[in-house]
Amino acid sequence: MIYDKLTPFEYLEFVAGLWGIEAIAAERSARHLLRWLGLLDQAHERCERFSKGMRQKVALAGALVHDPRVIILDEPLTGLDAASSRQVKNVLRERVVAGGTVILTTHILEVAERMADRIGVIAAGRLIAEGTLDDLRRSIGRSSSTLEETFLTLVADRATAA
Amino acid sequence: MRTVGLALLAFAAFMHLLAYGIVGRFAGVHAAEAGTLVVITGSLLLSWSLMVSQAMESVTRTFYARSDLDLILSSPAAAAKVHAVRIAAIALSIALTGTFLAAPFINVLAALGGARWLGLYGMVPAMGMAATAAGIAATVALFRTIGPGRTRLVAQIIAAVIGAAFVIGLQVAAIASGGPLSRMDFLASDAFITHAPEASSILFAPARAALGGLRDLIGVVLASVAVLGIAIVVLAPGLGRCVLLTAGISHRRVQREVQGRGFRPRPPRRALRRKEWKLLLRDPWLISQSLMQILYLLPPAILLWRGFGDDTDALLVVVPVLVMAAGQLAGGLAWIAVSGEDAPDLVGSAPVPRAQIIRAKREAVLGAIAVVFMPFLLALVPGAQRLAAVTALGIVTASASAFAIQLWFCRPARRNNFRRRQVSSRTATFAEAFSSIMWAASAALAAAGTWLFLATVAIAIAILAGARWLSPAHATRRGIPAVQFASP
Repeated sequence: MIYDKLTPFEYLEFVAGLWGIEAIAAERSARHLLRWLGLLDQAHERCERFSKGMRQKVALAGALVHDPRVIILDEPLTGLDAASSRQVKNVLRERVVAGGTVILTTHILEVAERMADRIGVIAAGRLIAEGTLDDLRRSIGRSSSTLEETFLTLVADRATAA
Repeated sequence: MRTVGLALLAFAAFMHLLAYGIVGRFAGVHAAEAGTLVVITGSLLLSWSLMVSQAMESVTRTFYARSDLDLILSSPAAAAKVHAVRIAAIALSIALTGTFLAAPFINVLAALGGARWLGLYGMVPAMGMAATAAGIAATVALFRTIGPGRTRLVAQIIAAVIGAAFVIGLQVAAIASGGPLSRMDFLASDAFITHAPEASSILFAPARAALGGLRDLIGVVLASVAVLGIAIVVLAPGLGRCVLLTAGISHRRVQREVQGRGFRPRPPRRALRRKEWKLLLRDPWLISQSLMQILYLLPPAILLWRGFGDDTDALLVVVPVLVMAAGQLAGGLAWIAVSGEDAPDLVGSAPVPRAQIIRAKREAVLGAIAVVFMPFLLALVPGAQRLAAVTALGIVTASASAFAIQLWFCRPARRNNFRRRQVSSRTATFAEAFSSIMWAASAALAAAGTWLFLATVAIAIAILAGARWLSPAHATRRGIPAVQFASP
């Protein structure tokens, strides 16, 4: 969802303009995000030359530059290397600490286990369980299972019930 | 299936009827007639130049499209063989396309002028093979002289220019000669024929082959096969290296310092407009496609120059050409801005009213049109203010109509599919074309000072109303979901 022919700087300037963000504040936020995501050196290179991970980071910066209260992200860590993944997680954590809400989908259960305050389990297009990790563990009668074990148990139980 | 078959039959019948109107009167010509060979050679050269243009575009896509690169180069087949097959596939595609398009004309000529014209069924594929060899050789030569980074843009521009150059060149020469404006009449004129080679010249071999000369036909076909074969043998081994070098371009990192320019305050509409212009100016492919349409403005530019200070009646010819060109160019730009929006979810979810988004895109398109056509209008002003005013109004209405049609038939697509935009919605394509024609006719009639222009304006408005009624956008009001700016 980014423009190949724009640079990250231009893309964020465009998003800020769309959202009516004051120019100086938007630029400050953009530079902070690009630095945080490790893209400051490429701020004036066109996105068409970027790898998939870099493009995802630019898109994430675009989602954050206007300081939204709620962010919904679909698989934001897919395809990212370890360093990029760490950068994205740090940015999202910072957003939550600042009072925002982040809703993300992921198939990487370790990420959900470590990052999320609340977790929703979706199977066959339906939300079958929702709560903190402890809530989910209690629902399957185990107090120390990993999220992966909890998830698989919930999905299996759901399939059996169906 | 039956409906499709009937539709194809109807289309074929229409094409043959069209061919009859264009070439039917030439079916009886013979090689002995003065000027015949010149006119036929000119027509064949025109077709060949279009094929070369197509070949260069195909080869450029082969170089720069990397979707199957890893698969091909990791296969057990030798890369040179793979690329030889690719070249042959391009030649086959061009030959088949050319034959398909030429078939109605060949059939009509054969039906009216005898079986000798069937030799064209051998000529057209031969031309396709020769065009492929020329196109590939030209592209590889560019690659080796200016490098992979610049070849794509330059090759696309040259392909666009070659495709139009011969047509435009003939038209410009016809205009400049002061004689009849028809390209074919110019070729058949005494002034041109006296400088033409002898009828037995080898340069006229393709024309003699087209007229039923079997020996010439065999010679042309064999020569074309030989040229293509040589191109494959010589160029296929090096093609793989070219492809690999282009693959390296996308990942090359250009280290630049963070520049000092800060964010500039812009309201949403201005930000959207600026974004559209920037994306267009930075896309060589879109520029070359748009350039092709602009090149056809060269003959009216020459006509303007010729008519400057002279009888303004001659300038009446310019008015409908400019209006038509504006409508067609605006349609392409509108498709890019509306359907070719790369981030529809981003734009759609912004706190900007949809009407403002549409207005910004319309302003971007009309602004680009203004930049292209302003020089022509300014050239008209000194000697023909009324014509300039009528032309300006025609340009605005044709462009606005084209934008409206693209908006009503908005269907999210990738900008790379710009060439296929005309098949994505045939209703929109026909509506846009007929709308431009009617606005051009209206401008011409208004410029000529007759009230008949009101009739063509009414037809243009009716076309727009019909397009609106048939559009998906109107379908939502009838309870059928339509495509919005957000992707499905």
